[in-house]
Amino acid sequence: MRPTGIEALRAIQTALTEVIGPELQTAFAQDTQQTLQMLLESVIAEMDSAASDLLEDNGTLSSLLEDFRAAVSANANNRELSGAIEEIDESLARPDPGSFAISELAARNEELRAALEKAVRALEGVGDDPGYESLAPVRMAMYRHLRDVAGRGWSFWDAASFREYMMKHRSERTG
Amino acid sequence: MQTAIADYLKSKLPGSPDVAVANLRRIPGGASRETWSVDAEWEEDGQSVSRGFIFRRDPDASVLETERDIEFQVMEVARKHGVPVPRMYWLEQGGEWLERPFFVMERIDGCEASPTIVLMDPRFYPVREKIGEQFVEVLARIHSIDADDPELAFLGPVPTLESCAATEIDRWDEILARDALEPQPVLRGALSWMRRNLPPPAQRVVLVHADYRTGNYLCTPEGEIMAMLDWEMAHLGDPLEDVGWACIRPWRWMGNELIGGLMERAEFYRMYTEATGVNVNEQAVRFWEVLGNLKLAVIFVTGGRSFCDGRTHSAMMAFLSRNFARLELEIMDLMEV
Repeated sequence: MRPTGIEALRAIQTALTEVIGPELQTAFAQDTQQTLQMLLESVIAEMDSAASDLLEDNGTLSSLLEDFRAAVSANANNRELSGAIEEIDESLARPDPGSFAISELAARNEELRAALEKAVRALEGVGDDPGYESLAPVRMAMYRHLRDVAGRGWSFWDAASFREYMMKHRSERTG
Repeated sequence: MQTAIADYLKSKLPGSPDVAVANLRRIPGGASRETWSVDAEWEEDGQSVSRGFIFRRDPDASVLETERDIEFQVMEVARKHGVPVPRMYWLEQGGEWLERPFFVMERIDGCEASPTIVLMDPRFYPVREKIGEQFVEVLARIHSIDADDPELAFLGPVPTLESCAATEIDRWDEILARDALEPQPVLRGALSWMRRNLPPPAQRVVLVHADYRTGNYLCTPEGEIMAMLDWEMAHLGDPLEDVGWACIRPWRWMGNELIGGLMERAEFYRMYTEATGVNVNEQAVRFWEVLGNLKLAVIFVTGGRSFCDGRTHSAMMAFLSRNFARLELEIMDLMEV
């Protein structure tokens, strides 16, 4: 098989380290080279699983939004909550892209995340006020998803400030 | 650029001497302003004078749009109050010398700022405790500058004790609303959460550095903090805002829980209260840590906006704006969700 996209990016990284890096004279140029390495690393980390992650996320988001709509129907008199429902209905009514193109999956993901943003804000608006207890599990499920997304891939923080934190986070995720 | 700098220095130095300029180099970091170092040499009263200068020039686009005159003036006031900062020389608001506005300050040699060196170079191990003590002492010195000091009038109206937190929420909410390129459920949720979980009123209103952390001080291998840098976000507010910012995980660097990579949290709180008389309310610090992580994420969002709008082609802006997911994790931890 010819080199994959990831292998091609690795070749660029190797060239930056072994060929271009040693030729760089200034601290600023060397620093920029390191930034490029990290930028490539972050792209590589999400490249292979990008389509499947988006596909899975879009399913999870739709399901979370459905759960939110069902839970909110009991609190229809709250304006912010019912306002969020309108946007959610619009998002859910739009068809899935029916394509595995990352651009289309990402566009759908953005629509669903916009609706989720609205829902999260509405939920934070009522907080743990009496009468809204039934919304707590929905809120926690939304954050669970957001935590899964935020903990993915590679980040430059993982080797420094978030080192022990990410070790713990990953061990909790893998059980 | 070296020639332009030589011409500029010639116009500014007493007696308009001939100025020889050498070793112009851009210093890495400082994503909100370009930092250039230069060696200058000239004759003054028959004596040869050598001095290093730092030029802080506005970038083509930034992770955060800030006013260079605010930074310049705040540093001058801080210096008068005994806070270690470089001597400030000149402020140029136009682009006639270096194409963009800039200011010039003293270069302090023999120091390190990089957290990698200050925290991980064995030369600094024996003085880490001393750096920690100084880290607190300098912060206390900054917080001794009262918001009502007439010299700080350029910072605008003084917030009330009750309004400090809400003012900062509004500030970052507004920037996020302006610069977000995509939905931000965690950041928006955190903003709503903060409005419902405001800290107790500030105990006093002071000059807040707003970027007080390891990585922003110049330190000698003997453990002396010679200067506090990067004052571009300085404002009037709750001193615990700086305490919270200093505590956030991104600035712990060592991958463990040590604050600033220097000391245990309880020790930091104890020393700070001893030095300032300000009680460290843990709930308040938690609030300010949520705000701190959010603020850093929003700064990265702004960098992404500059990149996508074509105002910069900086790889750093593209990189940072793709890399704040870990901050979201930390925010959600602090919100306990």
